[in-house]
Amino acid sequence: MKKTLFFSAAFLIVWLSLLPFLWFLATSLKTEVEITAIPPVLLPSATLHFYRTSIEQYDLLHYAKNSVIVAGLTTCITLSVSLFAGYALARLRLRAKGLILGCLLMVSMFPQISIAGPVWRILQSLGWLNSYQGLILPYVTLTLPLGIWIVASFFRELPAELEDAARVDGCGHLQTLFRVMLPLAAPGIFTAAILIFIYAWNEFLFALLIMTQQDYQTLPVGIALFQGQYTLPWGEIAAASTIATVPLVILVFFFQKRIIRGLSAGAIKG
Amino acid sequence: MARLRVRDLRKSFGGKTVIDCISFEVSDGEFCILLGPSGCGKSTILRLIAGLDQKDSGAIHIDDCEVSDLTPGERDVAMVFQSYALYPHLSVYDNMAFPLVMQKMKREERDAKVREVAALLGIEGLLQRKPKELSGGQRQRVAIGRAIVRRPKIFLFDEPLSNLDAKLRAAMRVELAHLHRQLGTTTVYVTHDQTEAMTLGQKIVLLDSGIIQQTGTPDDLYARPANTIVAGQIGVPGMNFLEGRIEAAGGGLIFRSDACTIPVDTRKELRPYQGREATMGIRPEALIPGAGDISATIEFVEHLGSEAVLYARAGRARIVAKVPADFGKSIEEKVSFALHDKGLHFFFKGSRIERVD
Amino acid sequence: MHGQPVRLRVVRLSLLTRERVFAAALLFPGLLLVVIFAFYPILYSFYLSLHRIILGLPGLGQPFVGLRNYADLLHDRIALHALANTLLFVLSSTLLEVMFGLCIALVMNRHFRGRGFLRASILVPWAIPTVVSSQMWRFIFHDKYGLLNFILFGPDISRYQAWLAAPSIAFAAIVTADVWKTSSFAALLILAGLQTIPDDLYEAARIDGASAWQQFRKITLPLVRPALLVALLFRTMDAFRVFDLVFVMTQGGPADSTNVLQFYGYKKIFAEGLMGYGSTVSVLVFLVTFVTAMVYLRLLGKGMFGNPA
Repeated sequence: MKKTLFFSAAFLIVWLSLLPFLWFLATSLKTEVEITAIPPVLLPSATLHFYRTSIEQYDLLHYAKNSVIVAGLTTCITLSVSLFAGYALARLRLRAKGLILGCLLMVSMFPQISIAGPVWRILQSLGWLNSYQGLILPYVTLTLPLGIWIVASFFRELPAELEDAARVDGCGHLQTLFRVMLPLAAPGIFTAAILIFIYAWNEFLFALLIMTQQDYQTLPVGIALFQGQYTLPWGEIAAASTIATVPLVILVFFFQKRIIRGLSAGAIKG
Repeated sequence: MARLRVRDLRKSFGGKTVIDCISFEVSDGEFCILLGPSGCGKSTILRLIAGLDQKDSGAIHIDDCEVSDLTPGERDVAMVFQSYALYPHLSVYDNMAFPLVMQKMKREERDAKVREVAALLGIEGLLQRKPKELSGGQRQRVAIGRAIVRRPKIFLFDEPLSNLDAKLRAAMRVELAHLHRQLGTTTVYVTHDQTEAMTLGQKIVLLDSGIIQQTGTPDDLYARPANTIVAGQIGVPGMNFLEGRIEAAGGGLIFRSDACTIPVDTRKELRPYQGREATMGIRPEALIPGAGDISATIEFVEHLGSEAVLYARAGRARIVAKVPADFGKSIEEKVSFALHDKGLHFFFKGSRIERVD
Repeated sequence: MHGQPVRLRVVRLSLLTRERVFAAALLFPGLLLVVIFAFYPILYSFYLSLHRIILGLPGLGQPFVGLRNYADLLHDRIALHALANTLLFVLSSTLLEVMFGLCIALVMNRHFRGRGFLRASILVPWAIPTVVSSQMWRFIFHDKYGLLNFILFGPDISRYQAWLAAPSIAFAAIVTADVWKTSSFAALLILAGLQTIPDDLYEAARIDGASAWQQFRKITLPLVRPALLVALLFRTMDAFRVFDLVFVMTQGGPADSTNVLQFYGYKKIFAEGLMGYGSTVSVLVFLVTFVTAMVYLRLLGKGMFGNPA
């Protein structure tokens, strides 16, 4: 009895989590007729019609390319910056560590709109609106707290004696970081990379403000702004949504353990 | 090879003084032990010598160079850690080659050195393995190998045997002594195990509560402990202490305590202390069962095979004696002890009253 | 090679000083970015909120108006409505999320076959871009093609509703979409807390004859409380930032029923070009969030920051 209850709860959770997405996935595979049927048709006839039209008429691949560039570069830059900062915070003697960590935590809680106007003005004066760097730099800033927090928490778990050994064996701090600490913290850094990538891939508000020209817009902006002539192009929206989501679903299914560990790292301490 | 001089070293962490005014010297090629209970500051001293922590004041000289502002790498010391601290992502070979790579030594030269040291330690067969595929003893050897391979000026050992089981520890002890004889490198070795200290050390620096209690050879520390702390820490089982008073009696001098009264006429050095409180220390091996000055009731007997350890009560004091295994008595029986003069020490306010002959 | 003679150097900083300088250098790029793109903008927002700036009228300049914008804000009914909506949204969505999160975490904490699949499935809503999930839910609530109508009324199309056109339902729809997307995040934080509870506590309780409900009440709930608070904190801070859902699903409508502060600020600054007044709204958002965060941190104590050493 108890077991049945438990498994039906588990089943319900899985079903509720996946259903809305599966419904959209099905929508993307429908034909024009199926999509506008009232009442709706549950099972699609599995055509790639809307994928083709979203690529041909809505330039989907262009948005995807921008997303890959922005999210990819953001991940690389945030990781390298967090690597140094996280190492310093986790392992080196430094004044005001608590203050710095507190400030980072605060930044991670800033409402975007509170900084959006000024950031937009800064970028405008630099002439960086509608440029990759114009979006990447704010993204790096906004993902830094997450990146530093995770990387530092992984560094902290490494035994201190290893670092001492490296120092005695003749490494400077930087060599200790690259030759000993970095290879050992690689799993943690990879976890941070996944989370940062997902954040940058999904972000909408700044992308909307900074990328006003279609040439530079990312997938979320495209998906939010797709317009048909009279009605919303639901098929194309669903197809684009699927394209934007599938890489993430793959990441989630392959790396769920790491992601779960990364998300709870630092959040629960004490 | 080098001489190490430590002078007036002080270090505190967060307002708590860990070591206070430490001074000692280790001469070229000497094997020096820092011995003391955990928390006495001995590891801190080692880390200060290595450059892993920074002193508050004082000086550390290696040969004639003050090293306090040098990085650990520039000091040319090698260290073996309690946890071995092998790099988990590198093979045994790469672990041992690591310090040489950092010195930018040429590949062929490096290879020759690593293989030579591996042969010396009998680990040639393990070179391609990763640390996690090794047993505790093997890891220990690799850690030592990584320290030896660069022929540093000074070896630093931080409780290197404490993670091994008793049998392996005894074997490694012998091996370390042998290795030191072969290499002749100046060594500072931290331990809380007095057996290691007595068997390995040429010089022992005994620490307690952050200060040096006594420095000397193992024999010195055993035969002439400077105070009750040293006396209590050296020797197994520990020394018996009887509190009492030195008094004049019948023209001679006696030590009177609750457990016994002993004539101490022959000890000229005690004369100035007549009428004073003092502590008498008796080595357990200096208590000879038979007719004698101390009579006691046996409370427990520990048979160790070659000998036995007797726990007995004399008056209000408890005493421990080391006796031959064939000693016939058992619990609740009475026993008398004669005292072997060599194992008898007197302390006034904790400090040794030096013997005068 | 060994035993290099050490030359005297003219000035050598102590090892400790060198380590501190090095650490500061490592932190510098990160802190620089944070200062330029986060702290400076916050202060700049405050500065802007004291001026009258209209993007479409550059000839106007930037006259200083003191607290005029704030006075206007107090009489701006839509803004006050948006503030109320925001608070209601934060309250209802976070409470629901933590509640569902706790349930999900309790299920995830058990060992059973297919747990990996369950965990991955739960992460799917979290990983999906909010814009995508907003479109998804918008389509589910669609008046003609929507799944919700179909589930409720089947083929009886005469009863189909335009859900997002009804103010209170539109608001509920946004809360639903948010709860669906982020309960899993709350669940993960709570799960981490659950996993710190040792199993022998439950065994001891079972031996003492405690029922499952008693075990939950007397062991699980008190011990998982800190994790619940942390989840609540993170979710609350995030819920204040709701924007994508509103932008995609309702554009703040119908009749401002789903207008929230972030969206209102965005509209004022970027759609209407009222840089000064919009900044006042964004300062308000910041202050509300900040005060809430402080209240939480008080509740949680200082344990949150952990000890970096």
